Amino acid sequence: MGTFRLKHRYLIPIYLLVAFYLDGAISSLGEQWLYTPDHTLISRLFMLMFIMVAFVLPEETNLSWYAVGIGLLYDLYYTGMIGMYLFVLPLIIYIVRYLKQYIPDSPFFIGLVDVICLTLLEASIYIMNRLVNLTSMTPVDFISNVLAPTIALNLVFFIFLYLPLKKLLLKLKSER
Amino acid sequence: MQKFFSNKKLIILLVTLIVCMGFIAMSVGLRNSKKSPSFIRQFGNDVTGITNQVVSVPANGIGKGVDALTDLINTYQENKALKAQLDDLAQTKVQAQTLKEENKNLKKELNLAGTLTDYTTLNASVLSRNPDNWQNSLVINKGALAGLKKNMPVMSESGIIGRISEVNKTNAKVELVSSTGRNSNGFAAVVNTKDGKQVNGIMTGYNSDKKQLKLGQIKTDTAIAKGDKVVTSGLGGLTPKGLYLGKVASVKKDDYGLALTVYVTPAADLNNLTVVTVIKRSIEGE
Repeated sequence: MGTFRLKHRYLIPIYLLVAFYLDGAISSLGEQWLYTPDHTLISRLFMLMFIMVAFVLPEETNLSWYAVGIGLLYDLYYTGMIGMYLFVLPLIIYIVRYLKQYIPDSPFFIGLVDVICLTLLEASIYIMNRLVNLTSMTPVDFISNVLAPTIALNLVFFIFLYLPLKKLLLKLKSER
Repeated sequence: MQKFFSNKKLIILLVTLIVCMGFIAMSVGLRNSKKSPSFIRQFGNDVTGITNQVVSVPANGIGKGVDALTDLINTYQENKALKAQLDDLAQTKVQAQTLKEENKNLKKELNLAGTLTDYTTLNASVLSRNPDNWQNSLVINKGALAGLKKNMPVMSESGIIGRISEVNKTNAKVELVSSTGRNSNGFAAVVNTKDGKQVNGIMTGYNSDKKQLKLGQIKTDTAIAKGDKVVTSGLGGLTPKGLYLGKVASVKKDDYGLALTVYVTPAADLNNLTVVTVIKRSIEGE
């Protein structure tokens, strides 16, 4: 086994961007099922993509910077309030990339990391929205109506997309 | 082994946290002001909007196919219900046409250039929706180049769904009436009661549990009944008169027993939007 090298490195941000757009498309098409008074399911394909890249392609050192880009894009494009995702997303990705060395590289643990990251992301976004008074939802409601359904939805995505994504990302690796 | 958070990194983290908080505060301020976003933000949003079409155009195509299929399944039942309404509709339509014609002629005679009821429409399709639902907002594919302005009302086929909260060159954000942000609400509305009287009010909020709009601070002796129609009154802002909002669901006295709060079931389905219509009022407001 020699050292691995990334070929077509430029494809990684493109994949991340496509995942980001797919989130928007999924939420605009599935509105009737995703957003009801009882529960809100938030599609977070880009989070899954970030974690998969962090685990499958640890050679990609710029991942935190891509997180800055996607976070900024999210803020600008959807809410117009710069700062929320711009701060949280890179921080999460940085922590994931650091903790990766202690975590076994198996589907189960990657799924677990996905769940933990989603919890961190949703919770911090909720707290920030609460701080600027854009929502009046209570924490208990948040956990039962938003966080739990979101994690469930994204776990389904994870189960279906783990193998295809892994294959897709491994193609970017070439042995030298 | 690298240290997780060295002192230097901790300082950087704190500084970015403070800077981001500052950014958030600034953005909240910008949302409530009338100014359009700065050039850089507009440019970023435009580029994102254009590249977004690569994903959203095929996705919307699939969505339309699925919609068509579900329509097909419901066709038989719908057909029965619709046939019952059809005869009535033709009569009303002809009547409306005659009245519109007459109205136009009368206005011409009076030299009225435009009244509160005059508006032009512009169709736009939905590019994407904010996945997290804290601010219920859509991105549509028309912007300042098509003549859109901030605060213009937006409708689906059946009624008002929200208003424009941010305009870029080629796309715009729509804030739905169901969001708790203050600038989406505040439509001046009027309740048309059964005995022909009109009651003015202002939309003050949204009850997400019941999926109903709140019409607050109404002081009147007129009896408002369930099923009365609510339309915009055209007073203030960029909203013309006579856009359909919904039907009265219930009427409640407020906490002090002085004013009424009317709950309105919105006519539009706020959760199934692929094409929206932006309303441009003919006479400028404010």
